Amino acid sequence: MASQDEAALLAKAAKASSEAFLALFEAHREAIFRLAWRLTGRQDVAEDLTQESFLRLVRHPQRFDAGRGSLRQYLYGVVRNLARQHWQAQGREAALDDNGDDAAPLWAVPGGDPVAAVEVAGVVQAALAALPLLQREALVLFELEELPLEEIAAIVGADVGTVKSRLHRARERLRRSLAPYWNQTREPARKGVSDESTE
Amino acid sequence: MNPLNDDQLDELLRQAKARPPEARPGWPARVLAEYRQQRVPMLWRRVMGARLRIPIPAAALAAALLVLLGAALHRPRPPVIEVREVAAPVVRERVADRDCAAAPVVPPTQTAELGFKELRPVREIKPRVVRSIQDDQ
Repeated sequence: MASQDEAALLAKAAKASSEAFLALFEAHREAIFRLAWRLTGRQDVAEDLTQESFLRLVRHPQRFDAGRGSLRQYLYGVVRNLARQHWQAQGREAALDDNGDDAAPLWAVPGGDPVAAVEVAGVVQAALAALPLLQREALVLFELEELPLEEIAAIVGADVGTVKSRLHRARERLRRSLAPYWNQTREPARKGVSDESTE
Repeated sequence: MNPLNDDQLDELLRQAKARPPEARPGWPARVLAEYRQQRVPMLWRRVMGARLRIPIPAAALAAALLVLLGAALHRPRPPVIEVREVAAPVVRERVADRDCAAAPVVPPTQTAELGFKELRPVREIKPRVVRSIQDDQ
């Protein structure tokens, strides 16, 4: 959707046009919900944050500046801030810091048992949930939402170098935290294949 | 335990990306309902909380006009004189003629009998000059 069309739709939605609001919501809801879910790890919270993002958008349409980025990018920023507020309200401010304790057990997350979690998406989500928020949002936006580094930097309010650094640290943590899952699910299969070949 | 290499990590991330999370059914309808619920109060709040930006000179002029208007409204007004046309009663004169009897003629009495004895000298003389307008000119 062109930015001019989105700006026109936003103006109509702000003036209580349900059709315009629905058009905007349908165009962006999946991406915004996906990010909210990956940042919070909870379906109900992600729904609430996504809803609040769109309602804030139509309540304060003047805050969106089409010259500074796309509407999707703006919504990413809104839901990212809401997720951060939710994170802090849960009393997890310390985990916002980039320099978190790397030695902490990464699987010490509710529901984050790698052995019990069979599905890859669940395991990866649990590993993401164990990341500090700043690292997590950088990794989610880059690896899963496939946004360019410049756009991520604009969303999180940091420079590109900082985003790269957070990405690097996030990947380093994931390498270690996902290694047990990889070894338990992939190595036995390889072993089985090698045993069969030797027989 | 050895950490994953880049390829292994990318594969896990790719698999996770291929299965995106989904919202519960009925969620979009709930969001739309919430939007519609907030729509009317939103307009009401917008009207009540509307802000108007006025340049300072225009605001000062408006304030001065308001003060002048207030002063004019509170100034005591002069009494209003109303002109009424009142129909005055018509007075008609009547001339009544009547024959009257003539008054009796009184005969001259004692005036002719005054002498110098009744004239006495005055104590103070107050002269009074009477001039005509023609004398001043």
